[in-house]
Amino acid sequence: MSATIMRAIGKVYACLMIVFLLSPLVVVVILSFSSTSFIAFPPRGWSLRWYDQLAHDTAIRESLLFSIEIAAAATVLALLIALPTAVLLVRHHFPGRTALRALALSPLVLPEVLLALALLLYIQNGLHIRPSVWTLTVGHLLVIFPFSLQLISSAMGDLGPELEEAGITLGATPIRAFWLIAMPVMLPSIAAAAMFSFIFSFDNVAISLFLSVPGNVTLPVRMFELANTTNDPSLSSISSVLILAGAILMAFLGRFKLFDGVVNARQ
Amino acid sequence: MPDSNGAAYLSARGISKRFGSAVGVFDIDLDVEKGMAICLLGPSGCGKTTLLRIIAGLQSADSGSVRLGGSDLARVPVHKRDIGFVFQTWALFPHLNVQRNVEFGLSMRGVESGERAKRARDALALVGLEELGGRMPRQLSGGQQQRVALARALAINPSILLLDEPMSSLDFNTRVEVRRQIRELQQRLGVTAIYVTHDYSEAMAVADRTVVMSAGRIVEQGDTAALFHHPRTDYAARFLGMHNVLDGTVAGIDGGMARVRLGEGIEVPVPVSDATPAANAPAKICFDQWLVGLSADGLVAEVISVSAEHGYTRVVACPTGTSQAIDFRVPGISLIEPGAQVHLAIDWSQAWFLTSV
Repeated sequence: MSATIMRAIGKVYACLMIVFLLSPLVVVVILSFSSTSFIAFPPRGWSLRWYDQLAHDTAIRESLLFSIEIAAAATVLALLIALPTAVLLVRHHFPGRTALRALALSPLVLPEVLLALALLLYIQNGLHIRPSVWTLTVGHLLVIFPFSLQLISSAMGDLGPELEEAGITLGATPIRAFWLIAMPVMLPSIAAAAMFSFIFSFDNVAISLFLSVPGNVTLPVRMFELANTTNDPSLSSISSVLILAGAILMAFLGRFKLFDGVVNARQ
Repeated sequence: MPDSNGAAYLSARGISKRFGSAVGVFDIDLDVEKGMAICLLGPSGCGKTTLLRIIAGLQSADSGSVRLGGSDLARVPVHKRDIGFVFQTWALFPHLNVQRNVEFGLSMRGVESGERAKRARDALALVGLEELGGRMPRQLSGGQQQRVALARALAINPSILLLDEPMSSLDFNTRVEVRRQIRELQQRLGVTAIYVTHDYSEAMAVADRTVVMSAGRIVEQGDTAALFHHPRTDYAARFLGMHNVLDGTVAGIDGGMARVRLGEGIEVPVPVSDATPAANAPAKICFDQWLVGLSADGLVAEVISVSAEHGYTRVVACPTGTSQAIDFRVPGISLIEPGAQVHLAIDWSQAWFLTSV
């Protein structure tokens, strides 16, 4: 009896939470179809003018491409570094292992603004180089690397050494066993790590703001500027497109069970 | 038993490996002759798996050497050792089907695909799974996965087959069936095998020779039948399921018989052996639980517990004059109840002395 009631309360609670979380997104999407050049809710009239404007806004398009480039480069670098680091941290025991792991994961617990400021000071006053596409990429790498490392490490921990050991006893060199056995088995987790790294980099504002490169601005920074300078619904059309892209990505992750790699992340 | 010039097929000498404080293996010598199956038997943490992994090369030893077929394995990397290893978890590759799992070792050896497929099918036929080559590992039962793991290890025609607790994840009935199959295959193919387990009934079923280990050392080893029939050490006797290990004192020795005092007014004659201590020294004796009968006269004892087993009744009784219990079997279902007085007839000439180590 009471179990049924509890379950009913649980359902109502879950529904309320979903409404609470999604309502701002719904408002943004509705606003994007407004016909007025000022923000009014509910809109006074309907049009696609903000999407039309978006389609012809070269600055936005450039920022979008720039964001994708930075996120893609940072993601590839993060995976390339996280894989061997995970092998080292999970499979090998050596003095300082725990310290190295804590160090690698430390950007997770530092405020991003602090990290961004420190990085800017270090690049300008320590290394004496100008902020460039490269320093920006490294900044993003620093922020997303802990996620990649954590996801891949826990996948490797779950995998255990035995499958590779079996491959080695059957005649595979350790490197071959890693490529033929560990990599294919961990592929969903690696894909999930790549997706999330990309998203975290794409979303990042603090690092992009501090390390911004003259002439090149990432999309979140561009939107940030727009929010400060304009008062029309143009932002909501960009937001709606991003929401749609996010939803497609989520559906894709769910379809290929890539969430499992994240949900299972224990340790 | 190997001869002194080291003619054994596999010969490990002075193997030591320490992990931190007390666990590991300490100065182990082990010989296995070609075509033999031996069993490393002991409780968890006794070092049996460590020893197996050192032989395979999956773990490095702190000291000692392993020779296989006359050559030193020290500089031979694991992937060139031609070892068939069956893991406790079977370690089937989850992304490959059964056929591809079994082919894996062959493809690492560059066997061309037609030949590879044929040999993999043959290996699967050995374990009776030739029909299941197209299945994925997760679609198989535990017993089937176990047999695929065995087929995969055998497909490379290994120089030695190492099995690390291969049955521990199977239910009882499957275990009995699969171990029978493993033994039958091992003998038919004449492959040398080392089998690690903590279950003495498995050792009995699969091994020509059994090595009992404790705390990183070999306690006792010998021909499986002889060892189980007549363990020499206190530890092995208890571990091999001998319930009647009694403490006593040697009261005197008359020719071939020692009089052993087990308690107040209980003195029994036990045949003298190497293990018999001097007169008045403490002694441990052992006898089989099947060699105890009920009679009209004999040792007076009070029944402590009665439990029905499959086909017999297990009775534990404590003789008057001692607090040491005697464990024995009565065929069928017994009507004896706890607290009853019984007379035990024990053929003490079948009892023997144990050494404490």
